[in-house]
Order: sequence, then structure tokens, then C-alpha cells
Amino acid sequence: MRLMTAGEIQVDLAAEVRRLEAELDQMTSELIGVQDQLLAVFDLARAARRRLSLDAVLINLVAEVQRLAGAELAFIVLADPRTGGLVCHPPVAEDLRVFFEAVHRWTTTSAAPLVANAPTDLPGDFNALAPLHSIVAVPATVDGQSHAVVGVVNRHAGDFSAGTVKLLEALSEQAGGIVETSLRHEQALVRERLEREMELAAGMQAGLMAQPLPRMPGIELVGRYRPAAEVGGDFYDARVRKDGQLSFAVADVSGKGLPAAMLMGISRMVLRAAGLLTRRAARVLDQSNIYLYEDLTEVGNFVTAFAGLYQPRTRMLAYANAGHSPAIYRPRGGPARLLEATCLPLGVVPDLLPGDDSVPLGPEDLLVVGTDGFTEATGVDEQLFGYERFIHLVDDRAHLPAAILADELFAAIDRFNTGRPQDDDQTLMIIKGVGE
Amino acid sequence: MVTVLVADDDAVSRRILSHIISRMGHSVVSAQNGREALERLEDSSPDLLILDLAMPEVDGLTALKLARSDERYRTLPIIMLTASGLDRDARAARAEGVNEFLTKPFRSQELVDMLERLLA
Repeated sequence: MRLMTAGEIQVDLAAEVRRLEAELDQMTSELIGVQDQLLAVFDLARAARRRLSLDAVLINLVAEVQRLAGAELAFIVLADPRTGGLVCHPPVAEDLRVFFEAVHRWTTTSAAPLVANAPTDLPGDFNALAPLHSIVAVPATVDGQSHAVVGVVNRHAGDFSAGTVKLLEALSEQAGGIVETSLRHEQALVRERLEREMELAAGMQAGLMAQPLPRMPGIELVGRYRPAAEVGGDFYDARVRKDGQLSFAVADVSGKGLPAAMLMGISRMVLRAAGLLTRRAARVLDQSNIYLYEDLTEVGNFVTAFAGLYQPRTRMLAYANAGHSPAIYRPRGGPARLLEATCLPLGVVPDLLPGDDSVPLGPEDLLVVGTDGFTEATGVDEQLFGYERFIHLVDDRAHLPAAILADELFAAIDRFNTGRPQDDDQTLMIIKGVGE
Repeated sequence: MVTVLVADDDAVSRRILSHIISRMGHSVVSAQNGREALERLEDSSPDLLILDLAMPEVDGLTALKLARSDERYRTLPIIMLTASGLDRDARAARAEGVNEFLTKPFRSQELVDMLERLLA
């Protein structure tokens, strides 16, 4: 065996040093790449903590992914939580968008990455686009489900590798978290705004209902209103007409919450206007139905209403009842009886054809008009409060002043409810004849 | 050709910096502490100096002060590398005339952008 000369050893060592130097360069390059990737993930997490807008985060994400993967283009496709439609970042030409949406469907359905370093690598159901020669796309999980896809297209040099897939998986993991955070933030903002609007609506409705009822010689007039939610669809209203009569109405808009409250505002104005301008109680309802019918049928709601006109000169009360809960009339000395509906509710038929009737409202005569939230209040074993209890209660407490009677009736309902949440708005109007 | 002097006692950090700068087509001269950096300033006349803040013997802040006290290096672009990014380090270095700060770990693109800006 021949020993190497000093010169040969030197050459050999130099070659080894060059080889090691090249390896070290390669390792340094990979180290820089890994550090860049880690910092990109860190920056994305930080962006989420800072609650940048979703759009800003996505723009940042695709820019990072594109740079780190050495790709011509990066993209993210996700379902818009507001519309449900797919949104592509960045915006691209129509054919590319259609392709990316197909990638979204494929990856979210299969919950697997799509890797193709040539158009022929693509699954059979893809129509490859001419300028596209390679792609990696991975699904991103939002709220435990695959809703988005993060991808890169056309590597600048060489093929996309397993490292690219790992990088995209790490970034898509972060992206999923960011999207979740952003969506929750946006949802919280919307919820907050709705709550604020609901508070305003409730304040406005309470303000309307808090308007003092008119005082009139010969009667006590009391109204009480308790919505089941922040706002409701029940209302009462009373105004003195120019001819000296008292026009009043108690009504209940079908449905609950904000939609019912909106219709309540309209119906209140219409019934008030009709009550001030028409001569008969039946005409109040007929006229109101003419004004409200189209709008109510358009939105599929109806309004039950009890309208009355009290003539202080004759102490007679004319009334008409459009599908409303029967009112309780109790003449002096009793017994109490029900004043049933005289026609269908407003908004059900175009021609209401209501009938009307009248009852005396002399001293100690009593009229109690409630909404169904009162008689349909439920107690133990889902039992309804019902008319029988209501009439009995009115008969029993008829001697009380109107305001105290109203308080007693609400207290009786509360006792019956035994602390259960109120299901429906509860509204009451009491007119009691006083004097000799 | 642009020459960048990199002064950092951490071999991995030096290697990473040198690699990124070389990829930009620039020449790199290295130093392991502030004293060596000042010596390299004399013999390599760099176009830009990158100084790590915490180094043995002569630290980055002292090296910065000494360099800036020399008329020849008063306008030399200097980047200070810091590990903490603490405000007091930044304030002290800024008072001594540093051009830019780079907090470790940094993204390669950050360094590339910074060099391009300072060497423009």
C-alpha cells in the first residue's frame, strides 16, 4: 500500500474542507429558512393577538407563504361567514379563482393536502390550467372543521417538497386560529351592536308606553305593560278626542322581539289616528285594517286589537274587538262577563266587516282589557291562568281602585307563574266608572 | 464590491449573517468582539458595520462610541443587533449614532431590506 505524499494529503484535506464548507453553507441556508418560517408563524400569531382585521391578516399570510415557499403565487380560499360564499385572497382572474375554489372543495372534502409538481400529478377531476405547473394546498381548520385552504403555485426553482407541505400546514394551522379569532371578534362586535340597538329600541318603546294616560271625569283609567323580552309587540293607548270622547285601544302584534316591536310602533300610530278621526269603534278597526293590511300580509303578521270609545256625557262605552283576547266587563254588583271578538284580527282579510257593541260605564262599572300573555300565563304542570281565574279575580277585587286592581292582577299572575320566565308580553288596561 | 463587517461573539449568529449578506453578493469580514471589530474597521474599510450589542471584552455600545468618535467612521452605516430589544439599549445606542436596530432572531428579509436601505 502506497503512502500519500504531503502534497496529496494537503489536496485531500483541502477538498474535505471545501466539502464540509459546502455542507455548512447548506445547513446554514436551511437554518435561515427554518428561522424565517418560525418567525413567520410567530408574526401571524402576534397579528391575531393584536386583532388586526381579517383581511389584513390574510394579506399578510399570503405574502409570507409566497415568500417562504419560493412560489410565484400564494392564495387562501375560505367561506365568508357573512354570506357563505367562497372568498379568494388575493383576488385573481376568473379562471384561476374557479380553479382555486375547486382546490378548496377537494382539500376540505378530503381533509388532505394536494401536492402536484406537474399538471399530470393533479387528481383526475381537476382541469389543469395552462400557466400552472405545480401546486401545494392544505386545508385549514376553523372551529374544528375544514373551511379554508392555503396554497402556493409554481415554485420559482425546483419542486415543492415535503418541507413546503409542512410549512403550509404550520401556517394554515395558525391561519385557522387567526380566522377563528377574527370571526369571533367580528361576531362579538355584531352582537354588541345588536344589543346596543336592542337597548335603544327598548328605551324608545318604554318611553312611548310611559306617556301618561289622559284623565277624565267619571272614570279611572290605568294601563300596565310588561314585555317578555327587551321589546315586545303589545301596547295600549288612549287619547281624548276633540268631541270629548275617550278613544282607547289595547293590541297585540303577533310574534315577539324586534320585528313585533317595529310593527307595534306602526300599529299604535294607525289605531290612534283612526281612533281620533272615526265616529264608531267598529270603524276604528276597519280603518286601521285598511291602512295596515298590505304591510301585515307582506311580512306575515297580524294584530289583534280591542278598540273603544267612551262617551262621558252618556257614560256609555262603545267597543269592537278584532280577534283580541276577550275583555272582561263587570257591571256594578257583577257578575263579570266576557266581551268576545267581533271580527278577525287586523291583517288577515282585506275587508274586516267588524261589528261593535256598547256597555254602560257608570259608577263601579268596570272594564278590564288584557292581552293573551295574561290569560295564557302558565303555572305548575303547564296549566294556563285562563279566563275562569281571571274573571273570578276581577269579580273578587272589583271594589278596588283601578290602579290597585292592576297591581293585584299582575301580582296574581306572578304568584301563578311561580317564578317561571315570562313567555309572552303582558298588557292590561282598566277603565272603572267612578262617582255617583 | 460592498464589504460588510459583522461583529458578533456568537458563531451561529455570525454564520447566519454572513450567509445572508454573501447571498446578496456582498463581501463579509467577521469579528468576534468589539475590540476585534475596531481592528477590522482599520484594515478592511467596510461600507457597513453590524455590531452585536452584548459582546465580551469590548461590547457593541462601547465599540459604537469609539467608532463614532473617529472622524472616518462618523457617517458609516451601523446596525446594532440586540437580543432583547429593550428600550434602554435602543435609547443608549441611538444616542451614540446607530442607524438601525435588528432584534434577534430576525427574518432574513428584514436584514436584506435594511442593508438595501442603508447602502442605497
